[in-house]
Amino acid sequence: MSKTIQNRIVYDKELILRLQRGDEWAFQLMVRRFRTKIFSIAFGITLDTEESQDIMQEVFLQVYRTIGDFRGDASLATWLHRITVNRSLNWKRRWARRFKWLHVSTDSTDGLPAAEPESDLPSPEIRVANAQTRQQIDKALKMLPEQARTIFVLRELEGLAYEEIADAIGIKLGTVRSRLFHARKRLKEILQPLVEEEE
Amino acid sequence: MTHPDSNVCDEMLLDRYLDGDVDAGERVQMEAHIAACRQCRRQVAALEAFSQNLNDRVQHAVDSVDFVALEKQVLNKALRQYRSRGGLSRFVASLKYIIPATVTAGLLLFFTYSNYVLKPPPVPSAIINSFTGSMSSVMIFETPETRQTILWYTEETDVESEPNAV
Repeated sequence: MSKTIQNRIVYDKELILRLQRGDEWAFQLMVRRFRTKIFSIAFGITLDTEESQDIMQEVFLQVYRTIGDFRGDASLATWLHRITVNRSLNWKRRWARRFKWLHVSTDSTDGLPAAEPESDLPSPEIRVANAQTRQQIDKALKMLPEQARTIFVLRELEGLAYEEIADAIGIKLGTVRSRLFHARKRLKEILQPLVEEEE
Repeated sequence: MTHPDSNVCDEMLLDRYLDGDVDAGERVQMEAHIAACRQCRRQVAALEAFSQNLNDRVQHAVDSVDFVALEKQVLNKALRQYRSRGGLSRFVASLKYIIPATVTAGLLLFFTYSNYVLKPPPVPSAIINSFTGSMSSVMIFETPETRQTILWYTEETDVESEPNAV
């Protein structure tokens, strides 16, 4: 075990102890350390900026409420990943029932960009092209099965190891490999027409 | 799972290669195959570009979020939660005193009400009539609820015939 990892474990243990004592400063430290990661995972699964912000808040509040029950079987990061994945998947199931998942957002961050006054931004053509790329990525991700997308996001965005993904989702290591393989296979099929278009 | 012939496409190996989950020999073999196979080259390029675009996509979303404001919101909510949890636990702790006290007060109220408010002592409500004579007197009462008539007959003692009377 490297010294950096050892330091991280000691640091995590200290942080958890402080959190369990109700230390407000420790809570703030944890929020600051994990906020971008949690938002990114939630966004990778939901593809919705506002919902991902809500999920991020819910995750931290759940941690604050239940830190007393944390036994330390997994690392703090794995525990946070697990809560984030569960919350994000629950969100998607909730909204899938309300057909929001099929709704094409008119939000400027998801669709074509709105006119912005700053002159140092890319040209309108580049911004349109970027927005189209974003839409293609969203479309391709939405076509992946839920579990496959979750594993793909954890692997590609967070660079988690197979073991960490298995811990976060609560599945076997072999299942992680298999689902990741099928996610890439499906993506290749989805991306095939785009690749042919470019040639 | 390695494939001995580098000219044959091996999807599993390609997947592991993309994941960086190959040994040195497999890496060399895969790189040789990719250099020779147009289809695999295109697939690798497409997936690598997708991965990069996905990271850019998420970074774009991250940049649009005001994390400082969000952090403040989370901290405020957590603090409110802590306070309400503290208030609730104090309330729960005080229940062990509140419940017996309430039960005792309730029982006292019940007995008081049923004995003194609901059932007043059965006294006559009013004198309806009275007759007073030299030897005796009669009073006529009526009970309040059952409206029964009571005749109260009193015989006067003759003071003169009882010399021992005081």
